[in-house]
Formats: sequence, C-alpha cells, structure tokens
Amino acid sequence: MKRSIYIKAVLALSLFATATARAQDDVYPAKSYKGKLFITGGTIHVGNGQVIEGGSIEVDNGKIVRVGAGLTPASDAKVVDAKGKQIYPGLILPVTDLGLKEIGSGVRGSNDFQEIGDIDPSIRSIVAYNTDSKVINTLKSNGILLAGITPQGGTISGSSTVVQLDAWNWEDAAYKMDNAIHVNLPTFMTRPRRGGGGGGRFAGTQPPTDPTKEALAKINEIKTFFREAKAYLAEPAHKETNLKFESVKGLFSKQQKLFVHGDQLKQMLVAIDFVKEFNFDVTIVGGSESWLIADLLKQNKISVILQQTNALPTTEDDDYDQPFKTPAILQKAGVLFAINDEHEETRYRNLMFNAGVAAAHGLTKEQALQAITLNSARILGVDDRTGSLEAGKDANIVISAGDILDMRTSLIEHAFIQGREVGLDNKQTQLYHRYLTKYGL
Amino acid sequence: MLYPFDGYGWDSLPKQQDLLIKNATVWTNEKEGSLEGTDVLVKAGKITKIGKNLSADGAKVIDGAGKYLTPGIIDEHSHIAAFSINEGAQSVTSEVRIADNLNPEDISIYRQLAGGVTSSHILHGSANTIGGQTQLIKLRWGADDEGLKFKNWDPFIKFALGENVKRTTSQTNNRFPDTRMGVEEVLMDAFTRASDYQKQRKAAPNAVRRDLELDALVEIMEHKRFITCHSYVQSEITELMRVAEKFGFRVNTFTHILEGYKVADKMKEHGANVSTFSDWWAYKVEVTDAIAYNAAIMQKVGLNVCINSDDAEQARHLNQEAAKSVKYGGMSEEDAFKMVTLNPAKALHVADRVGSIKEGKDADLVLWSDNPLSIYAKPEKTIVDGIVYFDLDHDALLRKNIAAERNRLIQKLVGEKRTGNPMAPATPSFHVELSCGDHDHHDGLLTIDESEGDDQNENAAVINANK
Repeated sequence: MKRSIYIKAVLALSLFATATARAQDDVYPAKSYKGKLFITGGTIHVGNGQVIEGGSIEVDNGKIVRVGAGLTPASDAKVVDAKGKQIYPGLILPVTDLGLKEIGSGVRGSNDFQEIGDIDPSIRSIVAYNTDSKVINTLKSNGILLAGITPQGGTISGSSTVVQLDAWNWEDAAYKMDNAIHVNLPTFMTRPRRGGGGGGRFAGTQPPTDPTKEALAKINEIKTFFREAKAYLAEPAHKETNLKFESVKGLFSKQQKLFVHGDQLKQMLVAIDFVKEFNFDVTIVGGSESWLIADLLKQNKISVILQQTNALPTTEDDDYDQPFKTPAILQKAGVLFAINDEHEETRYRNLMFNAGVAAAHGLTKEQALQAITLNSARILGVDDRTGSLEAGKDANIVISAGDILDMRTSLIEHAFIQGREVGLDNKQTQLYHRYLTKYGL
Repeated sequence: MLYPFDGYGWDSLPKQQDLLIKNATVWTNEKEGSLEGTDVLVKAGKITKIGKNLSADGAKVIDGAGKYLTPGIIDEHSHIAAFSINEGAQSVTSEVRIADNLNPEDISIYRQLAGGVTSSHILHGSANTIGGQTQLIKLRWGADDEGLKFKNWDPFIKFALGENVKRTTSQTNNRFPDTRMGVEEVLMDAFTRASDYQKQRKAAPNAVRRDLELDALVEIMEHKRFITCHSYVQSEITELMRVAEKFGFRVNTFTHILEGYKVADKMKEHGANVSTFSDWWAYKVEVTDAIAYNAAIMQKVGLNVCINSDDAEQARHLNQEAAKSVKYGGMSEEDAFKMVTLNPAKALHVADRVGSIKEGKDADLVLWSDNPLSIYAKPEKTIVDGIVYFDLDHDALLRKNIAAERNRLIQKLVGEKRTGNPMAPATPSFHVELSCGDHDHHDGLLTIDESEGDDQNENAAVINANK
C-alpha cells in the first residue's frame, strides 16, 4: 500500500517534470492565485509612456496594489526578483481569429471564423473560441496575454469578445464579453478578375459595374439596418423579439463599440458617418490609408487598429516605408491607435515586433509599447482593468530579459494573468526539447 | 527616359564608382568577425582593401562613423522580378526557365534594396514535383533582364514535395500525384527516363532526339545542375534524398524545410544545405510541427542554414527574420546574420564572390544605421558591384519628385475637367504579386495575389493550389 502511494507520487512528479519541459502538448492553465505577489528590481514600463527604474509592483488577490520605487514586500508575499529585467503590461492582440481558425488552408473542419450570411450582428465569436488551440500558447510565451476574438463573415459579422489566454474553456477565458460589433465595409474599387492572357498578368479586367455605386448601395443597407434597430430599440415593448436588433443594443448605449473594417480612404470617410448619424464609438480596423486623413479621424474621435506594420506599401509610388511610419503619423496627429498582428503564417506572435518597427520609424519605444497595451485596452474598452501597470488594474504582467520590441532581447521569463503565473511552454518549445534530446544537444 | 520607367527609376543609369567607407563597424563574416572603426575600399566593383585609416586615393568617401557595414543580404528563395512563376500543367517541367521571363521593372527590386537585399534566387513555383530552372539575380535596379543576371553561376532547378505538388487545396484534383507515395513515383519515373535517355544519347548522339525536359535531369545526374527543393515534412525529405542517392546525385538545398529539425542528421549525412522560414507555422497541415527553433537545431547539428523570404514583403526585413534565431535557440548574432548572407552564398555556390566582406569579393554591401540584427536598424545605402543602388538621401529626393509629378498630373486632370470635355473615370492599376504559394500575402491595396479573383472552378482550384 505504502509502496503504491510512493510509486504514484514518483509518477506524479515525473509527469509534472515532463509537462514543464519535454512532453507532448500538455501545457496546463495556471491555478488561481489569490495571495500577494511582489515583483521587484526591474525597469517598469507602465504602458502610458512612463518608465520607472528599479521599481516594484505589489499585487494582492490578482490586482495591482502599488507601483513605484522604494516599496518593500509584505512578509507573506511571493517575491519575484526582476533585477536587470524589463517589466511590461501584458500585450494585447486586439483583433484576431485566434482560437477560431486552427489550420487556415486545407482543413475546413478546423475553421469557425467566418459565418454564412450578410447581416449577422447576433453571431458571437466567443462560443466557438477554442482554448485548446495550439497557437494560443505560442502567443503567451511571447508576452501576449489578451486578445480580441473576432468573427469575419458577411457585412456585419457579429460581436467580438476580449479573452485572456490562459483558460480551460471559453467561459473562463472571457475577459469582456461582446465588446464590439464588427462591420466590413464594401470596397470602392473593383479588384480585377483574371483575364485570358495568362502568365500571371491580368487582361480584360474592366469592371463590369460601377464599384462606387455598388458600395454606396451596400452602405445604405448597413445604415438602414442601424436605423431600424434604433427604432426597434426605442419601442417600449416588442410584439416579436428581433435578435439582430437586440444584439446591437450596446452600440446605442455605448456599452459596445463599432469596429469598422476597411483600408481605403473612401471606406474611412463612410466610418465617419457612423459617428455623425448614430453617435457610435467607432474604430477603424485596417486603416492602411488612415495617414492621409489623420486630422479628420482625430476630429471625429475615431480610433484606428493598424493590422500590420511589416507590410507592403499601397501603391508603387508610395514611400517604401509608408506602412512602417503610419503609426508615427497617427501619433503626431493625436489619433488613438493600436497595432495588431494579423500575419497568417507566423500566427500573430510577432505583435511586439510590429510595434518595434514603428519605433524604428518615428514612434518612441514607449509610444510603440502603448500601441500594443494601453491604447489597445482603451479601444477594446478594457482599460479600466488592463493595458497598464497601475494600481487597481488586473495584474497582467510580463517580465522580459530585455527590450521586448527587439527580436534579440525579447525573451519572456515570467508572465502573470490576474496575478497567477502562467506557463510559457508550448508545442514548439516541447518539440525543441524533444529534438535537442534526440541529437544529444 | 527613366531606368526603369517608374517614380523610383534613374534619370540615367548609375555608374560604378570607387568608394571608401570610413570608420564603420564592419561585420565581415570572415574569421576577423566584427571590426570597429574600420575602412573598406571599393574599386571597380570589388572590395580591394579592409583596414584602418585607408587612403581614399581618389575614391568617393562615405562616412560610416556610428554605422554598420555588412555584406548584402542574399535571398535563397524569391519570386520577384519575373512575369510568371508557375508552369503548373504537368508535374515535371524541367525544361522551363525563369531566365526567359525576368521583369526588371518590378518595384520589389527597389523596395528590397531598401531592405538591404543585393542578390535573390528567383525560383519557379511549387506546383510540380520537378519545377523549372531558376535564376540568380543581383538587384541592379535600372538594368534590363540580362543585366540582372548573376554572371557565371552554377545553374539550379526547383523541385517541390508535399501539399502543393499533390494539390491538397483542390477539391477536384485529377493530376498525378495526389499523395506523397505518388510524388516518389514521379521522381523515380523521371530519373529512370533520364538515365535511359542519357545512355542512348551517349551511345548514339545523333540517333536520339533531344529532349529539353530530360536534358535538365541529365545535367542534375552529371552534377552540372543543382536542386533546391521546396519541402516540409520529414518523410518526404528522406524520400527525395534516397531517390537522389539511387541516381548518384545529391539534393543541393532543401528550401522551407520546416520539419528539417527532425531529420537534420540525415540531411547532414546526405550533404544538403537548408533554407527555412524563421517562425512560420500552422497555416496548413504540413507545417503544424514547424517550430521557430528549426534553424537553431539544424545549425547545431552542423548544417549550412539559410533563412529565406518566399515573399516580397518578408524579403524587406530578412535581417529581422535572422534575428529571430537569437531569440529562439540562442544563436550568436554573427551566426544569425550569416544565415541571410554567407550561408545562402555557400548554398548557391557563389561564396567565392559574395556573402562576406573580403578583399577580392564583389562590393555588395549595406550600410546600416544600427546593429543589423536590431529591429531599429535601417539600411542607409545598399551597394551592388560598387554601385550605390539605394541611398536614403536619394530616396528622399525621389519622394519629392513623385509628389510634384502627382500634383502636376492632378492639376492637369482638373484643368481638363474644366474644359468640359468628356472624361474617363480613374481606374486603379494593379500590381501583380507572384508567389510560390502556399501562403497568404500582406500586400497593399493595389497589389493582388496571382491567384486572386480566380473563379472557383476546377482550373482555378489548380491555380490556387500552386500559387
């Protein structure tokens, strides 16, 4: 009997050991931690532009209690020595299909990001969010701790939900439910159809119809939907419940934001209409050409989520570095903006490097950091709880060996979500150890 | 006349100049490693002297103080500067040549110079087991198609394995092969035919009709043409090596090779080079076991490892891609930077001329604002054969000219409109971005993927699969 208990203990220990180092993909979400935590001795990048050298962060029951230099830990606090390290707020990936799309190409069964239909505001991404996606842990180990899970189909795609990335299931993961409704604006350009010429060139690509006329008709449909929703919501009682109208109630009460997806200048001008007519909180997602109308966006209090800093310029004549410097142009104009990572082949784990590129092209490092932390939190509507290292907010904290924006030093050593230290292992680190073992390295 | 006819073209072709880059931190990629406060003298397109306090001797002086001078970046896997990439009708197309359809006016040439690239290996696509013959170019912006070509270079050919070859994304594929089993059969069949042909031609050169497809395969077996093979998973990597060994040749380079870390020892024994993406994964099934530590493991096992782009956007920051191996696997900065310079030069058999800063080598150089592996580094000058093809100051001037020209055209349009003459609405002109294909692209608004806009019919599915 004793012996079998002993064996069980050894087994449990060895299982635990392999789980943290060189097992198959069996990375566990962290246990909740209600106690005190004290991170000391590092350079604290608050997320709002402020930097505190040799500062400490005190956490109690998952919340940041105090931040500053010269603090001493409570006797019962778990102390994390961050001497010589860089401390950041947990990074936020604001708009993504993470957990909705496992393998984009060739595996239809693994994809739940795009619903059929055109006006689908009552679609909710969160119910399909797969916390067991192998991609999630590769973000967490790079310091990305929160994400805006977003549906993509149709014209009105539905609602996104902000999640934290260390969870057993989607209800555990949900950080802010249904934070935004997503609209895809129609294109004002006809993309060419493949001609008969072959050779990768396009021939006979005259647009069959007037793209502007078609786009405006579609936009009118969107506006009509919102007008009808407004009228419906103004009724004291409904004979029949309309789920689609009900689902956008938060837009009119400003509990929800309107995320308008579009890159073209004309699309962004339409986004302004949504502010003017409906008084919605509007964010443009995409915004390749946002730098052309930065002042106008600022005037209308429209924020922007830039999808990809490492991108090609829009036209042949554009500055080769236009996508790199667009963040700096928005910053200068005072537009609230966040930086995203939508790269389909690296699967969103280079968010901090998209910010780093912006820092190399006109932003300060702290501004670049803010574009992936506090600004994102503001745009997503979660800045009361996260996005910066300030008292009262959730302890969503990342400790890096060095500058998190630079590949050479972006080495995450600890990450905390709501005060609990989360694992940094993932399928890739495990395969790495597996093959180091094979080669005896 | 502009070279090429483009906002970023030259008024007249740039000329070779003797240059002296002074007081730079020089990353040599040679045993000297990194040299601080060092001068590099360039004469007639070659590096002639490396040292301190060199005399200009009539050369134009470039101040390198506070800056870093490195060899130019070499992209082992690129699809820019060509009018077409995929001949996808059959699974063996060894007779087709990228060299026949180079596009020297592709703006990607200029944009990649701005990212520090000086040479690119332009590959056929990955739709076929045995694809077309490739072309190594230097990014001589303004030159014609002949002028782009890297001179005296060993000819290469593109092979491919796996999902693209077996048309995985097509719902209606009816082209053999449809499995990795079939891919081996295609290879065995092709080289068996080539062997028979080789023997027959040797026995009676004038009695056997020349076959361009088999000629290329015979060149491979006679070690006169070299393979770079698009490949991902360990089974197919081993399979191709064994086929090659049966026919007495070796696979020069496995490109993409995201599961290379699983068979690194076998590839080393075979004698292959490897060229991979830094951190791509999970965009299709054959890359679900891809890891960002791949390059580091393969390097530790002793392979010659390159990092490639396969993407007009990614090629603009291959220095950053290389830097990711410092993060994932703890590679030294020097070794990491070699993966986009000296190592591809070795893999492409041109390390005697490019890939390092060494007296006698081609003056293909980049002057960086910062440590070239830093995310904050920008190329300020990119030099090919001693000609400054990209210069940040010159770029600023071109931007002004483009803005002025744009304004002139708009005023002209406005003037025309005022005359009341009928006018055609403005229509966008699209830039086609070609690729080998197995991934999504991040192109600007007015660029378009080769496969975009295809109808979802059977043929289009084929085109999509091989994009």
